[in-house]
Amino acid sequence: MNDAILRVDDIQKYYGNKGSLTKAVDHISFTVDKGEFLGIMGPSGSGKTTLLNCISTIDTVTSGHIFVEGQDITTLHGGRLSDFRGRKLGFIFQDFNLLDTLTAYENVSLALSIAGVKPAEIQKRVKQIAEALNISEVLSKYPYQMSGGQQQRVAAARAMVTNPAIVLADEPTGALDSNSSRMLLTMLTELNERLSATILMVTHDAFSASYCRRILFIKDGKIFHELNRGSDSRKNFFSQILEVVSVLGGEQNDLF
Amino acid sequence: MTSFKLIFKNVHKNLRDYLIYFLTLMISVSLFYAFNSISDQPAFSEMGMTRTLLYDQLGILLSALSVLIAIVLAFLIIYANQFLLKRRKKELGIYMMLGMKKGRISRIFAGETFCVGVIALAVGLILGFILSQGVSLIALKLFAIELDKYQLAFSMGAFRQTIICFALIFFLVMLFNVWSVSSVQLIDLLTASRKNERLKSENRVLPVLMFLLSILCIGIAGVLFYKNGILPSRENMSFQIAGLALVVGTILLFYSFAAVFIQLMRSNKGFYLKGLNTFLVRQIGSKIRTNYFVMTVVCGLLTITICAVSIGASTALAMNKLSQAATPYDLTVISDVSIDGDSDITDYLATCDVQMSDYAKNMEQISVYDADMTYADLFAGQDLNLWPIDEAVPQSRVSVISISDFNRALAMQGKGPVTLNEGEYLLNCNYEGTYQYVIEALRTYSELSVGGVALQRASDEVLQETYVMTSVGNNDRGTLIVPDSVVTALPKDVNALLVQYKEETNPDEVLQKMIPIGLDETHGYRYSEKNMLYDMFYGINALVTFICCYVGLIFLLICAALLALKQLTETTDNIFRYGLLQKLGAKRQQINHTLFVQTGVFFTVPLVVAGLYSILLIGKGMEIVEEFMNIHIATNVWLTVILFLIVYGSYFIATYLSCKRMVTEQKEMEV
Repeated sequence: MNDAILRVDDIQKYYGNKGSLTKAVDHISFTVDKGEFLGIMGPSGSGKTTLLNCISTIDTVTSGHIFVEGQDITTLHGGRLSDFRGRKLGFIFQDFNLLDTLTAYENVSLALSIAGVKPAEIQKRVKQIAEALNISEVLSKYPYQMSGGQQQRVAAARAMVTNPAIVLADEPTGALDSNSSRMLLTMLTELNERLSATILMVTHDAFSASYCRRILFIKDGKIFHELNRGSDSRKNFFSQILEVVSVLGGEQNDLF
Repeated sequence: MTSFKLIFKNVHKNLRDYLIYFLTLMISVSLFYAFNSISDQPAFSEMGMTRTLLYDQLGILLSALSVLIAIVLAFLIIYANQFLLKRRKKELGIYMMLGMKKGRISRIFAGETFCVGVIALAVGLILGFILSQGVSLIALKLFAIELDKYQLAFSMGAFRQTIICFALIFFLVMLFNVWSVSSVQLIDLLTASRKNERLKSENRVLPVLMFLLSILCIGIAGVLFYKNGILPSRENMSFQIAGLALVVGTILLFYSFAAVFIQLMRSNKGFYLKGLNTFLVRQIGSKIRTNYFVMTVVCGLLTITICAVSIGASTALAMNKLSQAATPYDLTVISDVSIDGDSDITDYLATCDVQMSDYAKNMEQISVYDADMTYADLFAGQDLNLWPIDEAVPQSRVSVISISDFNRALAMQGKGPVTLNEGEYLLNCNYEGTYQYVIEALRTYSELSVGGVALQRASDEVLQETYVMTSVGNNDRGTLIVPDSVVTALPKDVNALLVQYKEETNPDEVLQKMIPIGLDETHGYRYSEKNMLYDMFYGINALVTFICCYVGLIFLLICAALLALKQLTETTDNIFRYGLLQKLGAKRQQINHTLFVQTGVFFTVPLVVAGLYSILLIGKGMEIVEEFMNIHIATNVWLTVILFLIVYGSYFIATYLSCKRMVTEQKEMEV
C-alpha cells in the first residue's frame, strides 16, 4: 500500500433531493498503485464519469475521502485545489483540447507556466518530453498544421510534462474511428510502459479497455467486478472482458 | 408545432442571447427618438427672436444628422444580428437535419427578428420618451428658458420618424437573415462552433514590414494634414491622399500589430512563460488579428467622437468667456444724432419714465463722430476680402472718438487711460473681419488727415478695446482715436450712454422699460443689454454643445456596443479554452485576470490610436472653427474625458462582468 498513488476510500455521490435521490457513486473504494494502467468500465449511467470527476476535483464527493499521494483532496478548496490540479493531475481528452492560438511548444509549456515553473526549467522539460514523445519537429507548429496523431501526442505531452501523479482519461476514444482509437490507446500504453505514467481511463468500450492492465467494472454506482490482465495477451483479455460485459449487461441488454 | 409557436419559444429560450441585441436596439431607438423629439417641446415657443432662429437651426441640423445616424445604426444592428445568428447556427443545422425547408427556417428567423424588433421598438420608444424629457430639460437650460414653462410632450413627428427608420432597418436585417440562411450549407451550420477563427500561416518578416509601412503611411498622413489642414482643397489632392494614407495605415497597423506584438512578447521569455501570459498574449494577438477591421472602424468613430465633443465643448466655453469680455457694461443706449439731435440720453430716458440714476452705479455718455473719410479710403491699396455681412463697410464713414471719451469708457471698465498727444492718432479695432486691414492701415499711414488736421501715428499697435457694447464678436470695425480738439470739426454720428448697474438693480425691470424705447420708430434710441447678449451666446453655445453631444453619444455608444459584442462573441466561442485552463490548474483569479486584461486591451487599443489621431486633428479642427467663428478657442477636453469614462467605461465593465459570468457558468455547467 506504500506505492498507492490514488486511494479512493468509501466515497458516495448523491444527486437530487430527498424526493428523488440518485446515487451516482455508492460506496466505492479502490487503490491505484504507481505505474498502473487502470480501466474503469461500465454502461452509460453507471456512475463512472461521476467517479472520475470526483477524482479530478471537478466535482465534490458527498461522503468519503480520496487520497492522492497520501493527501486528502476532498478537503482542498479554491486556489489550493487549482494548484493540486496543475501539479498532480494530467488530463487526456478525446478531442485533444489543444489551444489553437498557441503553438505545440506553447501548449505544452503553458501547463508548466501555470504550475509556476521557472522559464529556464520550462524549456528543458518541454524539450525532454517532446523527445520522449517524438514531437520535437512539430513544436513550432500550430495545431491546425499537425496531423491528428501529432495533435494527440502534443496533448499527451501536455498531460505528462508536469510529471503528474496520475493521468486521467475520460472516454478518450469515444468519438474516434478505430484507427485513431488504436493510435491513442497505443500511445497511452507507451506512456504507461516507457514513461511509467500512472493512468486511469474511463471507458464503456471493451476494445479500449483491453489495453489496460486492470479493469474495474461498475454498475449502478457500485464495483461489480475486477479483472487483471496478468500475462494474458490482449486478445485473451479482450474476450474475458466481453464475458464480464455480457454478464454485466451492456447498454443493448438494457432493453430486455 | 407551428412556425408561430416555434418563433415564440425560440425568442423566449434565447432571451439571454438576444439580450445584447435587444439592448443595443433599445438604446438606439430611445436615443433616436429623444434627440429628434426636442423640436416639439412646447416651451421652446416661448423663446425670443434670436434664440428661435438658432433653435430652428438646431432642428434642421438634427434632422440632417439623424439620417446619417440612422445609416450608422443600421450597420450596428445588422452587426449585432450577425452575432446572434452565429450563436445559433447549430440550432439552424438541426432544423435542416430534421428536414425543415429553408424557406420555413428563413421565416422562423425573420419572425424572430420581427418579434424582438417590435418589443425593442416599443420599449425603446417608452425609454426614449422618458429620456427625451431629460434631454428637453437640458436643452431648455442651455437655451436659458425658464423651466416652469416645461411641459410633458410627446412628439408625433419623432415617433413617426423613429418607427419608419427602424422598420426599414428591421426589414434590412430580416433580408440579411433570410439571405444568410438560404446561402449556408448544412455542414457549415452543424460545425459552426468550430469554424470561428480564421487561421493563417505565420510569416515573421511580412508583418514587421507591414507594421513599418503602416507607421510610414500614418506619418505621411500626419505631415500632410499638418501642412495643409484638414479641409479638402480644390487646388491639390493632398487631403484625399492624406485621408487615404491614414485609412490604409490604420488598417495595416491593426492587421500587423498582433504579429509584431506577439514576437516582441515572445522574445521576453521571463514574461512570456510566466503563469497564463502565454495564453494571454496569444489571445490578445488572435483577437486583434481577427478583428482588425472592426478595430479600424471603431478607431475612426472614436476619433470623430473625441474631436467632435472636444471641439464642441471648447467652442462653447470659449464663447462664454468671450461674451464676458465683450460685455463690460450692463447696458448701452445709443442715440442716432441724425434723428434725435445731439441730446443728453439720460434726459430722454427720464421722459420715458426711466430714472437711470436710480439704477446706475456708474454712467457715462460718450460720442462717436463720422470722419471725413470712408473705410475704403482707410483700407486703400489693400486687397479687401470682407465677409458678406460687411459689404457696406467700405462706403461708410470711419468712426472717430475723442481721447477723453475713450478714456472715460476705459475708466468705467477699471482700465487705465491711454495717452495721446496733440497731433497724434490711434486706431482701435476688435472685429476679426477687419482687424488685419486696420493693422495694415496703421502701418501704411504714418500720417493721416482727419478733419483737415494732419495727425501722426502715435503707436504701431492697434488697440482692441470695447468702448461701446454691441453684439459679441461684432463690435468695433475700426475707430480712430484723436485729440479732443480734432472732433469738434467733425459731424456727430451717435451718442452712447454707458451704464453699470448698482448691486440691487433688477436688470429685467430696466429691460422691460427699455423694450418700447428700442422699438420706437420715431426716435433713434437703441440699446444693448448684457443679459440679452448672453442669451444669444448661450443659444449658440447650446447649438454647438447639443450637436456635438448627440453625435458623440451615438458614436460612442456604437463603438462601445461593437467592442462589447465582439468581446462577448469571442468569449462564447472560446469558452472551452477556459474550461481547459481550469483543468490545467489555473486559478480562478488568474483566469479572471486574463479576461480583464483581454477586455481592457481590446477596449484601449483603438482608443489609444484614436487619441493620438485626435491630438493632431483637434488642433487643426480648432483652427478652422476659430477662423469661422473669428474667436480664439482654448482646447478643453474635460467633457470628452467624462463622457468617455461614463459610456465607454461602463460598457467595458459590463463586458468584463458578463465574460466573467460566462466563464464561471461554464464551470458550473461542467459539474
